[in-house]
Amino acid sequence: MAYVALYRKWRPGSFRDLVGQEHISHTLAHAIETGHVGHAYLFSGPRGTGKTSTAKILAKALNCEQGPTPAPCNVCESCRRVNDGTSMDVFEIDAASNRGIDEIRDLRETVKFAPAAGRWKVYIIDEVHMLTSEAFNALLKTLEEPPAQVVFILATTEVHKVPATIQSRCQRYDFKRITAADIEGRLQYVAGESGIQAEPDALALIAHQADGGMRDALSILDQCAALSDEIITAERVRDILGLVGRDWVVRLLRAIAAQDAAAVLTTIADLLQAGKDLRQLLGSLIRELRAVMVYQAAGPLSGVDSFESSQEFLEEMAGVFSPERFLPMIRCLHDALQELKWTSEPRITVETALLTLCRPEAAAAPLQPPAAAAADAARLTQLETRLAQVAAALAALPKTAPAAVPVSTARPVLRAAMSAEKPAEETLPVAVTEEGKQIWQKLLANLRAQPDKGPVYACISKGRFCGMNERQFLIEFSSRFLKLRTDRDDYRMILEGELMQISGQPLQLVCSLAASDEPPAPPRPPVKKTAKKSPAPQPIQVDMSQLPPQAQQNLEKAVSILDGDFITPPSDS
Amino acid sequence: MKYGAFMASLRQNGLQHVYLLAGEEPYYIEKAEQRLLGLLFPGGNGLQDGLQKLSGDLPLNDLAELIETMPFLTDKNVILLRGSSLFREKKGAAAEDEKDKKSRTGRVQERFLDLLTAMPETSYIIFETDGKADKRKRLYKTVEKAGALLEAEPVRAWTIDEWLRSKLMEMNRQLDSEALRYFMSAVGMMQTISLQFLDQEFNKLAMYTQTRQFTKQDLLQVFSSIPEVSGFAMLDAISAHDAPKALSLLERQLEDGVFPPLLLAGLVRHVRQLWQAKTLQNRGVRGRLLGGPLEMNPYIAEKLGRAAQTFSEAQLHDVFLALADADYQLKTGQAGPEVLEQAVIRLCRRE
Repeated sequence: MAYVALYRKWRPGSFRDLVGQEHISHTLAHAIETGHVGHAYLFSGPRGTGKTSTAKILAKALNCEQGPTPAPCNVCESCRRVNDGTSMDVFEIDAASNRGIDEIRDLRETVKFAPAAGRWKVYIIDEVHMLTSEAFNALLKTLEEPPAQVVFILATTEVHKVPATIQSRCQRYDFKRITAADIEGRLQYVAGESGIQAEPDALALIAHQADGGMRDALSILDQCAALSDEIITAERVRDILGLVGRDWVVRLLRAIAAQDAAAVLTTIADLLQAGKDLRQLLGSLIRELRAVMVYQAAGPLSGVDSFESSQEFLEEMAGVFSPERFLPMIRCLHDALQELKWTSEPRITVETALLTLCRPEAAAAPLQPPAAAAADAARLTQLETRLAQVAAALAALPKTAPAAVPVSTARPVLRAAMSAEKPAEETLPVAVTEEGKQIWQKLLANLRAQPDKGPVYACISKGRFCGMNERQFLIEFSSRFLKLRTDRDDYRMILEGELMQISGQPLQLVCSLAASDEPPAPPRPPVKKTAKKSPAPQPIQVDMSQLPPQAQQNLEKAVSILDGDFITPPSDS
Repeated sequence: MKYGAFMASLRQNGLQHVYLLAGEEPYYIEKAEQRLLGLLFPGGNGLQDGLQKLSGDLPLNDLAELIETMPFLTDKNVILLRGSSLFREKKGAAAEDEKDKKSRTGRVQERFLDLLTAMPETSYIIFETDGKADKRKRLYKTVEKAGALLEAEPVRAWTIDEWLRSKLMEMNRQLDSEALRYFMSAVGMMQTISLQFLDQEFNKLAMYTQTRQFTKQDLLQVFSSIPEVSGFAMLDAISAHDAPKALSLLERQLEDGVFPPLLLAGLVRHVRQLWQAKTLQNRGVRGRLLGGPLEMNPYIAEKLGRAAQTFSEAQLHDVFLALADADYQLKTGQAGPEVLEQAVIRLCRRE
């Protein structure tokens, strides 16, 4: 007899065998016991979680010679036929390859006939989201009022693609990802029954790699059993799946945290010598950093997958990296991952990326203990507040005609508050020269010619060149958002690099906001238009001492907030 | 007549010969239809021979003929007409056509209306239409006079109580206080409430547990997830700076297959609203008064205002820019869902 893959051999045969879906098996079993079988079911969930298996168990349970029973015997003619796929009353339709209206019309024609051998006719439509909209419409009518003794079971991995009209006619069951512990337990059972020897660590690793899908887990076990000589070890599983061991990832992250460039480079060399895939390495590092980021923010979470990471390691890393560092680090690794697709020297790409992570200035915040970081943050906040106060005082001074192009705007306080993370740049006198204009035009042309810098061009093209000196290059924006976006480090680095290339000298980019710009204002309430403008109201004298204490207090508060005069309220007419 | 009154009138007044079941809640229409057919054909006897199901628009003459036909092999002749536009308001060109037709078929309509007011003893007609019926139509007024009408109005979160009570009574079960709170908050987050969906979920729940009282855990186990419920719950958790809950809900939505840019759009909207509320509060607009400029329900605006007070402007500004970057990176494949996680973490941080 031909070899049968483990996932087919160990497909669950009854509700009891279903792993990790107790909420569904229990409900369906009770529905069969009480005779409350629905006419249409919709099973949704990720791959390998037991949707088709549950559909087949339900079909067997309804048609079993001993039943209808929640525990089909798997021995009688009817059960065996369902298991073999030769039952006359159970129709398994693959909607991915029978997705048209003609197939659904055929189904509608046959659905009215009574079951051939069993009690119920069961239609299992797998991957139902692949049906065309016309096919869905044709199915709708049949689903709404199916003939008696017909049960439809629709299975899908993408329930959001199933029209709401179909969903509302079905009883929906959400299959959950199976937990790693449940998968591990089942793998142990299957390995034991099949005579496969495996280390517990190896099974745990397979369970993690299966990502909640039992079919994937059994397939990996099958593969490992075929390729291993005696006992399946964790090391062997890693080799077969091309995984980078956790030890490598831990070593690398510790080296990055310690800014030990030499350790990073030797680890990469060792990895390459061991024949590991660099893409896998970057992917593992991204997942690990993400796990640390989530752990640092929210502690251990049951719903969020933390992959293989041990809590001790997460805790250790969470204490080392500052929260601001994660995203730039992950972004850097993502960039390297993208670059790996095209580069002829993958080793150099990975080394560069990891060495960048080692340099604290490459990350958003310096690498230091959280307490010191907090002290520095407090100092920074103090400085920023003082700077904002100075800027406000300067703005309050009477304006003199500036010789240089003004960089500050009419609202310095607000600007300072809006860009609180960055002190205002000191601007030297600048002039709009012919050379400057040429550099500006060349800058735009260079950016336009490079498709990967399209977003930078889109921002900068909305700006206006305002002049340059030997150190700075000024651009003015009419939009606050564009100014702020261009001012950020990633765009600034690109632009300053381009300016360096064009002018041959380092130029600092200075972005300013056109004076007429207003901060984003929320929509105002509709105001009734008045026919003509009323004259300015005259201030009146109010003797506060005549008022009761509460009213006096309220008025004083209002005056302190609004800072105005008392006037007679305008009449409604 | 509302659903409750309609069902009560069926019990008290017995059967009429003409019914109109109209409205935006198909669940009520379906239930009323089942009840009517149950009364017309007790135990299903005669249903096969006596019921004629029709759909779409039929000429009035044909309809009148069907009504006047004597029943065969049964004692009743029941016509169930679904999806007819007879009770819908016609607009524009369709209204002009209607006028033309009326002038030509005025006599036919008169005859049909007369027939409805004096139905044969053995005939019954049930009109079903989705959406509101046009109350100005003569046909509507005639049905109102000669028979009974059901107006199936859509259920809102604040009117779900009645339905929930009757459903629990029908199942002979109860919800404990925690489960009830959870159910009400989940329903409150649904954009449209589908009673058909909720009915199915409660049927499942009854199959899942045999205890008389449902708990919150039962609901969490059995109820199908609705992305919008998780989405709003996530935004609520962000407003409360509850990072573990917000991250778990984000994870759940990603697992449910919600497209990451959609989640990002929800986050952007929320940050924008918080920022707007913050700006308005700085200008002295507070409490329920925020509702006007924000174009929101005053109660929700007040809640948003309270949440906005816990965020600094700089924080909202930074996250807003970070989300703009995340949008570009997500759509160009330069980043994964971790950019969303980072945004959620930054928002949940108390500054």
